[in-house]
Amino acid sequence: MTGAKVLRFAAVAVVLAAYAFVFRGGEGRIAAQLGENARLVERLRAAERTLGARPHIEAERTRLRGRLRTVELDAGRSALVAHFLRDAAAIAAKHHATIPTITATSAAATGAQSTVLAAGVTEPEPLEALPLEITVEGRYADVLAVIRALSRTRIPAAVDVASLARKHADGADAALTAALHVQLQRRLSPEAAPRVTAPSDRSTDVRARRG
Amino acid sequence: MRRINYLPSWSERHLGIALPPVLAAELRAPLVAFTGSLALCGVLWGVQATRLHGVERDGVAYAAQLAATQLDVARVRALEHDVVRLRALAERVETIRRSGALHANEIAALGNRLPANAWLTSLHADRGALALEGHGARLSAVGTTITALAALPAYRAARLVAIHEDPQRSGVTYALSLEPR
Repeated sequence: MTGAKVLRFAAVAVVLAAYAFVFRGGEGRIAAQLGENARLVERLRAAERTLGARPHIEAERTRLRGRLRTVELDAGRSALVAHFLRDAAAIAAKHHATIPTITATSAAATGAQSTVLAAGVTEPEPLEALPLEITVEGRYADVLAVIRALSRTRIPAAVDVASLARKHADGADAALTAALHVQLQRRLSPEAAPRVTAPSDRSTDVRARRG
Repeated sequence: MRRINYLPSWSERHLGIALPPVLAAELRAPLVAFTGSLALCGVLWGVQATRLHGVERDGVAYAAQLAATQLDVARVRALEHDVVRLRALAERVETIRRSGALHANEIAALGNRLPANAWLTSLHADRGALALEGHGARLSAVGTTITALAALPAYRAARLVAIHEDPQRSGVTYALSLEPR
């Protein structure tokens, strides 16, 4: 009887051990592996979605590059200023205004310096600012038209109005004089010259009167 | 009561030899149960091992597929990164290109807000604030001007700086300051 009891007890113990270690243990490992598989499948689907979006992303990049090609972001400093002067002269002539002075100022003098883009998760794109002080003279509507047009040339130029006043304080003439802060922007490429605009002691005055 | 099995054993019936029982009768049922439990344990282990092997095989297959796509995914990620950079740059350029129109429209809005009997002589920007000087036909015109300019959405308040009677022209000259929002 003792042997039979031992055998019965052993049978029950084996069944319990099988449940506890083989079944439950196996279920745990299988569940863990299924979870890992689910994560892999999710990553695989995400990767497939990413790959599926590739044509759209490429099209978007092409569109953005085309959009950025309409402005001269990568020109050298001299070329940038030269192009802007030509455009400014054309704008002034078109709107019957005059640009008596354009003065290039140093970045330190105007507080302008290399700016960076706050581009969220991506690394910022550094832009170098070339500050100019521009005076525009003309009638009210013409001056406003020139202010509007100066920032829409091929050269990215941030235009800020410092002052706008009647040319003659006695009011005899309807002509206005506008003093503008203009910052020409160019992209800093790795092979480009130093990032911060080098301070320059000399000012360059350019007269672009309409003929 | 003691039960006696009169049935001849298998060896006695077939071989004519009555072999002594290897196992006591009372142990047979427990032994069968024990053997059954061992078999159950074995079957259970086999089933679980097969299932585990199956899911591990699936996992290896998924990992291989994932590894095969990683290079292409990295290229697409680089493209996305480039697009984000270009988009930020394009937005920045667009903001720059709008700056002239923004200021011109601001000045135009100022001029349009002025009442008929008030004029603007000059405008100076100073750290975001706008200093205005002008001429009014009457003192009340300056009040109307302040009310009209204070209603501009870009400015928090229009502050009177000074008003003087204009000896040369009839009316008054005024100086105002517009504080940005």
